[in-house]
Amino acid sequence: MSAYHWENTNNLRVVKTLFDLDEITQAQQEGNIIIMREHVNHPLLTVGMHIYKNVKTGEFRKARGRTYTRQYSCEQITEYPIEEWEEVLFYRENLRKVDYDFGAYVLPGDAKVGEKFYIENLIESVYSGSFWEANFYSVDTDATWDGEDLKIEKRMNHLVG
Amino acid sequence: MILINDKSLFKEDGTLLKTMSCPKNMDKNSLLPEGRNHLCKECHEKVINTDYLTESALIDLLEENSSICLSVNTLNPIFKEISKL
Repeated sequence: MSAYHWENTNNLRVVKTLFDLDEITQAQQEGNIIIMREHVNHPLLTVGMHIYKNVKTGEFRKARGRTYTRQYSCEQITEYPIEEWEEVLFYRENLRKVDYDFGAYVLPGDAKVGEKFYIENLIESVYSGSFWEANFYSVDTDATWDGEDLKIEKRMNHLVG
Repeated sequence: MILINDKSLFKEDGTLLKTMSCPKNMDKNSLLPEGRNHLCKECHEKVINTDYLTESALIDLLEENSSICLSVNTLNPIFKEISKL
């Protein structure tokens, strides 16, 4: 739910993402441009989570909080009342779960300065916006090659008119 | 589901509901809050915040008056950008 796919709507050339050093080495030997990136999480892409235990049944549940706001009525709903559910843990959860610490973007060797590309799998966690209480991250995006680095494009997700 | 193609909103049967167009080129950050909705500081018109509308309420609203100003968050699950299909 919190992943947002922009897709390659502008039919741009694609930047591949690799995580294996042997594959990255091979891609460079084939004449591609390699841009290494550390995985960096975005502060808006972690959420506080609670584990509650039902005092009668012992059942464990995970939730953002005891209450939530119903979307259209804005009514506050108490789902885990304090007299029925005991909090046993509070922790911060990353919305985007990854199993790597770094990766590499692979650009075609003939990339032109100022050319826009489509990155199909972002290494870093990029915040793409929010709707009500949910924050979203971008899975993919467009980015411009400036001759030294790929500049990730900020995307708009609001229309007015 | 309300479909978005470029800046136009469609019903699922393909009926055009509205084309989003602002002559002042306003964006959400340049609107003033007014309750659950917004106020345009250029035109002083109400801008309906669709975050608080159900899909059917929004369709009813646009079928009654398609020239009303809207603010649309494309992350709202009632919308789907069909250029991405």
